[in-house]
Amino acid sequence: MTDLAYIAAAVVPAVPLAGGALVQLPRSPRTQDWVNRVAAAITALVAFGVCALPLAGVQRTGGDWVVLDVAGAPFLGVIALVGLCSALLSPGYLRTSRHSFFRPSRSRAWYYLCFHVFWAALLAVPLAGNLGVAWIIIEATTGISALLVAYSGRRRALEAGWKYLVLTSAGLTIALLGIVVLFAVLPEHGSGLGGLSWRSFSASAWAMPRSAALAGFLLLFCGLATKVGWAPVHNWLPDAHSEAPPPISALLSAALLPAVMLVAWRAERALVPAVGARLGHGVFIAFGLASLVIAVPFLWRALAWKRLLAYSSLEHMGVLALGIGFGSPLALAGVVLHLAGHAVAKSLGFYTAIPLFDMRPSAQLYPVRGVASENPALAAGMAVSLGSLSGLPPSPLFFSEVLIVMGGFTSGYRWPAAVAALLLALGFLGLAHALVHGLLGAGRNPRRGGLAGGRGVAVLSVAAGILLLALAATGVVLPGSTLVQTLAGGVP
Amino acid sequence: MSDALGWVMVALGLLVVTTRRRSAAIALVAVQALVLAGYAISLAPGRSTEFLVASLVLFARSVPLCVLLAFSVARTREPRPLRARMKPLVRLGLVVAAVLLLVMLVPSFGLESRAAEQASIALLTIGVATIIARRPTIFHLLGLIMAENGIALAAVAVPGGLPLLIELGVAFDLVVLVTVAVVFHDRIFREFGTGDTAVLRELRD
Repeated sequence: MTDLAYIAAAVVPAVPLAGGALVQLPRSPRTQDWVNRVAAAITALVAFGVCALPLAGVQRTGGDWVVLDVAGAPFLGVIALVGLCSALLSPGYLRTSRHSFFRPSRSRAWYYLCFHVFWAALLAVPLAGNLGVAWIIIEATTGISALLVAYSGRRRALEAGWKYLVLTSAGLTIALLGIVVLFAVLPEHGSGLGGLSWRSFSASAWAMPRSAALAGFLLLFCGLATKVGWAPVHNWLPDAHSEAPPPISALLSAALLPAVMLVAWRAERALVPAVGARLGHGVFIAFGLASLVIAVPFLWRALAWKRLLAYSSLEHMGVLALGIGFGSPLALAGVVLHLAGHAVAKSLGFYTAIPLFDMRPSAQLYPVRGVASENPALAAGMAVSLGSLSGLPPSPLFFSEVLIVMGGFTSGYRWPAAVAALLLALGFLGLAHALVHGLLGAGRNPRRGGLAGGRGVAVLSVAAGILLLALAATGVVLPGSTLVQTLAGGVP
Repeated sequence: MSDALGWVMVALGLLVVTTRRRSAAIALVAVQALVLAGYAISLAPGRSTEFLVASLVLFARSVPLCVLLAFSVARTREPRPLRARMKPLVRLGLVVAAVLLLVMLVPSFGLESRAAEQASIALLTIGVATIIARRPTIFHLLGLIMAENGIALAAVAVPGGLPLLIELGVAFDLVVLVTVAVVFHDRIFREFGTGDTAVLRELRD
């Protein structure tokens, strides 16, 4: 039975790696685009198949390396979906990109190679059954995604890429010290790699000395928080998300951040016997509230489109942290719904930047106005995205935020839940203001067609709208579902 | 572990905080990495084969990384000396204060000796402080490598050592990271005419 988990863990990241290698073979850009699309479709198909297994009741742990469980399944599904959409829309972005970090003759091939390697690493994170292995994979995403952040080669992109590279690496180094500390105090660390598996942590955490386990946990958590982009260690996030190519911004926001958060969640659950549930939850709640406090004022400011979405990512990572911290079944149902809803709405928002920047290059630096009068189809996509992200009913994010806040009250965290509700209301008003100002008002030169990626984004907007409504409907059944009951029983 | 070796590594780290020349700082970090690798190899006879391999990996990763950095510095000569935000002695004082504070705060965590624990915490702090206090891109990289050296010191002092796969993975990630960072350093130098991160200030809210 363990074989199934091993096979899944090997195949899921292997397919995009093979795709990245195959894209290097053709010389023509058109053929490279097609190889990318086919590789992405196969990758997504395999990943969706694997993430359906635990949801259908097939749960496996592959020894000390791999875990195929209910907690990882929604994350795997989201990473697969966002990766697929980003791969399909990348050719549209590459057609409009005029500068590159790489040599012009090979820039497209390098983009696809980095993209597929990054995606492969992201897909492997939810399947990692071991804290050490998870750290290695997360660290591996840093170098490759920094190249993608700086892909345009512009000065601002270089600055964003450098900040991202240095700050997240420093954070992960601190997390690594946390792992060494936890390994050193593990009663059975003579068992080698197996000592770092989630299973082993859960089984032996009770025997760890509390002060050392606490030090290790805090080092690990603060280090991972840097990569998740939680405030106050979020400085790289707005820059990297706003300067990366739009398909990469979508992957960073909707796939990378939640994937790292899953590792923090698994670690917290595994170490509860050593550090105590109240402290573990408290750390999540503290980072969640800090992220909301920092993000909300920026949602009120007139910001360039992608920068606004980047601060919205900070807000939503805070909401997810709060849901995990509250820990009740109601809050965890909210987390699952929020994870999926945020992924769909946020990635749509970033994808709309492809035709938006083609239509109005100044939108890369300045806030937009009057998009609806220039291109109604594009404005509709932006409205679906921003409306959902703001939590406007019937957005699934409205229901998930209600579930999380209610979950906070039911689990006894009344003050954090009340503060979160207030901040979410302020965030809603800020984004609603940006929605009205960005889309309405006088436009300049109406352009209704021929924009780069315009058709793809229009199709995606309709699909995303339908998907968001379907997700909102699942909010009704999710709280009592087996998925949530299992999550409430313990993530690792 | 030999207490003196740990403190030699810390002293080398503090010199990096104060030194002005990039090439001198690279040499200091290279010596630090070699001291660590030499110490790990000296422990190997009493331990497992896995530990010997991990020690050799530690040695093998330190030399190419520093050579890579040295080549990069040679290719990117600064047109004029970079002015530091703080005087070297002020920097040193602040870093020593941070080191002492953290060494006092972090409890004992199961390494072979308390001195090893303190030295590894000190190296991590010096690495992070170098990233914060020094402006040249190369110093940011040296800060990262020093922090990793601190963790490698802790890993060597874990009774029995860390699992080999983790050691290999960490070494691989560090090599990839530094290689990508050197590419960035070269591009930043080409674009801005300097490796001073003070010029990277367009992204502000």
